Amino acid sequence: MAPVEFEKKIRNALEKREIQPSKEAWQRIANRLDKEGPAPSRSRSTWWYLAAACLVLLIGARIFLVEEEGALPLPAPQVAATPGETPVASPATQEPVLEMVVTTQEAPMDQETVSQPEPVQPRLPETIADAAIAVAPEGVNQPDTLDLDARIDAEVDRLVAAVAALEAGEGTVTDAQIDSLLQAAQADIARTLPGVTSESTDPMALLAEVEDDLNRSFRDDIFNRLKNGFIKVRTAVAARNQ
Amino acid sequence: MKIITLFRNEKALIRKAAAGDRDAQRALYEQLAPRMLATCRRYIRDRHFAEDVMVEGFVKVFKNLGQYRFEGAFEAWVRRIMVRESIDYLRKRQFVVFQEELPEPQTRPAPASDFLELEQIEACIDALPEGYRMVFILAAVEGYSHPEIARMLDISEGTSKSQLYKARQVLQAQLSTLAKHRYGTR
Repeated sequence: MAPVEFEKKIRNALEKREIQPSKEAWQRIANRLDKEGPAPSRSRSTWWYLAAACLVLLIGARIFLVEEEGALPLPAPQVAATPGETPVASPATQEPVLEMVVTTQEAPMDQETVSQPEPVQPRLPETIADAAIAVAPEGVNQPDTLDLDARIDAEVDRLVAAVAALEAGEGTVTDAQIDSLLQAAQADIARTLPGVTSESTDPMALLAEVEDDLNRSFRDDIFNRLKNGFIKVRTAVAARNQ
Repeated sequence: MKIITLFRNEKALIRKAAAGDRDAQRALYEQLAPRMLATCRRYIRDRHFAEDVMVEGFVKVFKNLGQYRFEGAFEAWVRRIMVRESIDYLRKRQFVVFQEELPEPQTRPAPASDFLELEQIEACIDALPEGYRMVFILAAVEGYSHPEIARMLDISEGTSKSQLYKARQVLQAQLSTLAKHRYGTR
């Protein structure tokens, strides 16, 4: 007998087979169902899984963004050490570290700690910062251009003074240091815009807040304007010195 | 027309049973239980153990009825659950040993009637070693492929094929012996 034919006969015979279960069998099933109830429906669990997946994605994205911003170069240490204070020592290098200057509303930069070749404009009053309106991508109010210009001019002056101080202390100032100063100034301007909290003095936290609340084009715009202003002033100073 | 009505009735019955209607569940049970017990019995020699497995299988069926999407026959869906439940039962009790050696041919009493009678066939299948029997039933009776059997039993496809080959050899020898006794010829 060929296997296929022989198996077909067996299959046909077995498929007709029926065995009556005992009378207690149904009662046992019913008791079990009463005790255990139905299994949770897949649709509900699917929604839970979806919600959990979304949450994980959001948390992951947030962590990624924070880490990405943390990987940005820290604003380079600026300005000379404060005369009356002992320099803060880095735990790793034990070398004197320049004081990190982060301009905040609560603690405006102490102008006397910096040896500046030119007078620096005092910090703009609060009202000017308040006048600058946070910029949103589209359909949102733009900041007052005049106020913003004034802030940028003030920051440019402060930058020139800071760079001059660094040059006086170290001899040369690298492009990276200038970029860091520009970024810090950009963050400082953005931080004073309405809607941005300014209680923290941690530069990275401030940068993160600014990153969150401003769109990139506006930040680039501030950065470029600061940079252009800085280059203009430096060129003018260099021409005058010559 | 009758078939459509029957189908609609079964669909309505399944929906009610899925919602927890005990009467609908009982109706489905009574409709399917004899065939499902026979299915379990193919894998498990002892009828009472087979019934235990069938009860377990029906509990699972009714608890998970909401997952049935009306794709394919309902009976086939229930049968798959019973088959898996039977395999789990045998594996948990470590009854399954996949022998590589052919067993000694067993002498069987002469059949009283046609050798393809149901009891005769069942007796021959029951006489197979557990591994041969499971693979043979899964492949020849239930129609599973070797990759499916390999996954279900956690064995290689090669083992599945060799077990089926040997089961066929043993069964054919037994049935030939029965035929010889019955008809006096081969």
